[in-house]
Amino acid sequence: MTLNICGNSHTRALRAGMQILEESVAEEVVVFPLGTADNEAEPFSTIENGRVVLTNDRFRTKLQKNFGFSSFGPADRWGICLGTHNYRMMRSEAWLRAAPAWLGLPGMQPVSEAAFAQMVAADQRHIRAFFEQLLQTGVRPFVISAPWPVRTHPIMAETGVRPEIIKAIDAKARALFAAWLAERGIELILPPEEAADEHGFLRPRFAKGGDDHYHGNPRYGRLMMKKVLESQRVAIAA
Amino acid sequence: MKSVPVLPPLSGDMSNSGAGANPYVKQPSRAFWRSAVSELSPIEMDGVYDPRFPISRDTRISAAGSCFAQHIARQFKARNYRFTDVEPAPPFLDAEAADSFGYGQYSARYGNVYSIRQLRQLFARAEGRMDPDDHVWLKDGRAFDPFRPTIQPGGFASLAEMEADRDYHLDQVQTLLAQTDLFVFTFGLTEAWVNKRDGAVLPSCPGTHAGTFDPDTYVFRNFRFAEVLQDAEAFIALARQHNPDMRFLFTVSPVPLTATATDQHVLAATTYSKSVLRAVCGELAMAHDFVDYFPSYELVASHPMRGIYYRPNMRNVAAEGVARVMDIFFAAHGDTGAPAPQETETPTIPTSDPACDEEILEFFES
Repeated sequence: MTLNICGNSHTRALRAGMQILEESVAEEVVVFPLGTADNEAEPFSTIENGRVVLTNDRFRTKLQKNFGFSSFGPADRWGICLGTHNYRMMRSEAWLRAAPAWLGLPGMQPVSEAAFAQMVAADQRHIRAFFEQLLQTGVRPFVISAPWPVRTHPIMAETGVRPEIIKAIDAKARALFAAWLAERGIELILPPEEAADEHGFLRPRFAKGGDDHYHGNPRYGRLMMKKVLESQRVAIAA
Repeated sequence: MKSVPVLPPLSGDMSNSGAGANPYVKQPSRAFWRSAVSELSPIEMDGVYDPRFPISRDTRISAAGSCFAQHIARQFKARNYRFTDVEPAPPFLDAEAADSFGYGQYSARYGNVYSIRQLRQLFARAEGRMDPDDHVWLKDGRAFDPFRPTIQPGGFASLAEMEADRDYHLDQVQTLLAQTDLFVFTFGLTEAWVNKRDGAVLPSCPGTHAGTFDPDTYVFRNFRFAEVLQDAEAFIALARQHNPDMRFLFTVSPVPLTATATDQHVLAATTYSKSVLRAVCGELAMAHDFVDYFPSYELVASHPMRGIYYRPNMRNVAAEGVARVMDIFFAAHGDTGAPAPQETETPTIPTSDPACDEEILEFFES
């Protein structure tokens, strides 16, 4: 059965990685992005006639064009790269004055774990709704994480938000999402540990670089896709 | 004792007309019960509030008080007044969540402050002049701030989290008075629970929201007129140390007691509380030209209103009542526009039911 992988813009690196691996993989694996993460900030899916359809025009068009599907059905295998792109929360100047309480940074407004969980739930509400809809309609997806945060992001490099705050936000948001998925029996594939530096940021050799402060490069994509395929028991030739 | 009949002027100026000449003839119609109350429906009543000093959109306004005060704070913000909030919600909390965590309700995240003694002690703690014996209440592994037991739904994740939050909170409170031109306080109750050892006033009875009630540690107090007045004067003096030109707007919450800890009927206990608080406000306004009193209590709770602004439980104030009261307040200040969408940093949610800590007492009725 074809393994379909879609998601936000982080799926581009997965696609590039899959193109490197393609000849080593006997099974059919289709990888395409649906659109950028901005589209996740609004409702983008619903259930129609017992199947999940995408209500976001860009997402819907890409799904049809690249996968040949107008909806998600229970008979198909889906890996979804959504839910761990935490930059919407991270890239705020408010983190110059506020910090996660568990960091214990003096002089900063402490954001409690409970308040933070509310923020994450609000940020992910449309993504979570999408996964709930998939489960309701019998689709059993797995989730592919976005890469670790990129240390050169302007929120740190230019605005001056402390990297440990950004890292803490990302780590906690990922943990909360992982717990939410686990409660629903959805597998989450974490980014490769070897792609992270000692502070938990994406190593420069795996980052896209240039003006892009978000995405992994094809080398990262290859590493992550190997992990994805292994988790799905897709054989890769040596 | 027989009352002296005084009639309103019927027509023309009778101040110099022999037998009709007395001080009342110069009084406006709002001074006469018949013309100001009897002959009008509650919603027609006019001129109930005559501001003592103007409040402009440049005035830096801070607020605290019982839960009814949340309406006042929200209205100032919704109408784009310069409302001071030294502890706005952290980023990305939506309006509902921010409200549930006690952000945006007042000028800092201190929750409901029911008595002026509690307010005094809040600033004493912020300035390091008071270190209460009640440090933390622990329950099921969660930490509660005894002085803000409902500020964090379900409590803080740890003692360290609570301490960090409280330290930051008190640091912000310490800066508040210096950023205030007008301090608005809504008096709520005279009844309070106090730690016997240090006199610290708690916003709710230990053992209700959190904590454990120990009669050897906590004692009930029903503050008397002289105490409330003394506390109010002390707070005014403290506030004016930070800003010598600070003005004060006092109100009394029209929300009755949920329950009394006295041996009185709750109606009589409510009347005592509100009467003392109203009298203190009157005394303060008569004593200081920088103190104004806004009769929100009268506009909702007085008998000419016939209870129309209360919900059926005759306790919670209906949205229409809140709107009416606030419209009267702002119209008296020359602001007749509807509340504008709020553009300040802290989100607000329109609601007629602010978070009232004491409502939990209903659950303890046997």
